Amino acid sequence: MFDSIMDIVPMSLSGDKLKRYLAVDPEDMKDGLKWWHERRGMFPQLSRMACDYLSIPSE
Amino acid sequence: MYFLRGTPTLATIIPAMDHIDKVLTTSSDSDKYSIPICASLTIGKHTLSKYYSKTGESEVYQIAMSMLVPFLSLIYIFLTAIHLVLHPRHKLEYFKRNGWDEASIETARNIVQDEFDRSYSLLDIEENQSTASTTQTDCNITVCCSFANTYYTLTTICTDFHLVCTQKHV
Repeated sequence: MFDSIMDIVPMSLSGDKLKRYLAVDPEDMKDGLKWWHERRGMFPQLSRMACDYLSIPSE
Repeated sequence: MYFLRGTPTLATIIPAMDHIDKVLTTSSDSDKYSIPICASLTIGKHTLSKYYSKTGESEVYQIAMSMLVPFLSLIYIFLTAIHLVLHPRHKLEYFKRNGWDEASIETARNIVQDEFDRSYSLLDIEENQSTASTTQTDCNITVCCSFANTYYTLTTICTDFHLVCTQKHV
C-alpha cells in the first residue's frame, strides 16, 4: 500500500524544483541557454527541458 | 530592435509583438496624432479587412484554417508558456506585468509542470549515470535527441489539451 505512495514522491519532488526556480526573481540577462547550461548541476532535468525549449527559433 | 538580434527566439519575439500591438492600438485611438496619420491607420485597417474577406471566399481554405488554427494556436500557447516561464529573464513575471489573472498564470505554470513531469522528471537515472563525464558536445547531442522526443509528445499533449478545452465548453 505504501509502495504506491512512494511512487508519487518523485513527482512532488520534481514540482519542488520548478517551485525553487520560480521562487527566485527574474534576472536581467539575454542568453537563457547559457544561464541554464551553467546551472545544469543544480537543476539537471529542468535545465535539460529549458535547453530544449529555449533553443526553438521563432521562425 | 529585437529583430536585429542574431537569433530571434520566441522569448524575444512575443514580447516585441505584444509591444507593437499595444502601441498600434493606443496610438490609433489617441488624439496625439494628426488627422493624416489616423487616416492612414484606417486605410491600413481597411486593407487588412479586404485580405480577410478574400480568404473567406475560399471555402477549402476556410475549412482547413478552422481545423488548423485551434490546433496551431494550442501549440503556440503551449510553446509560449514553456518558453517564457523557463526563460530566467521572464519566468512568471511577464504574465503578471501584462495583466494575466491568477488562474491563467497558474495554467501557464501547470503546462510547464505537466510537460516536465511527463517528459523530463524520469530522466533522473540517465542523467546521474552520464553527468560524471558530460562534455559540451555530449550535452548537445542529448539535447537534440530529447528535442525530437519533445516534438513527438507535443502533438499528443496538444490533442489532450484540445480535448480538455472542448469538454469545458460543452
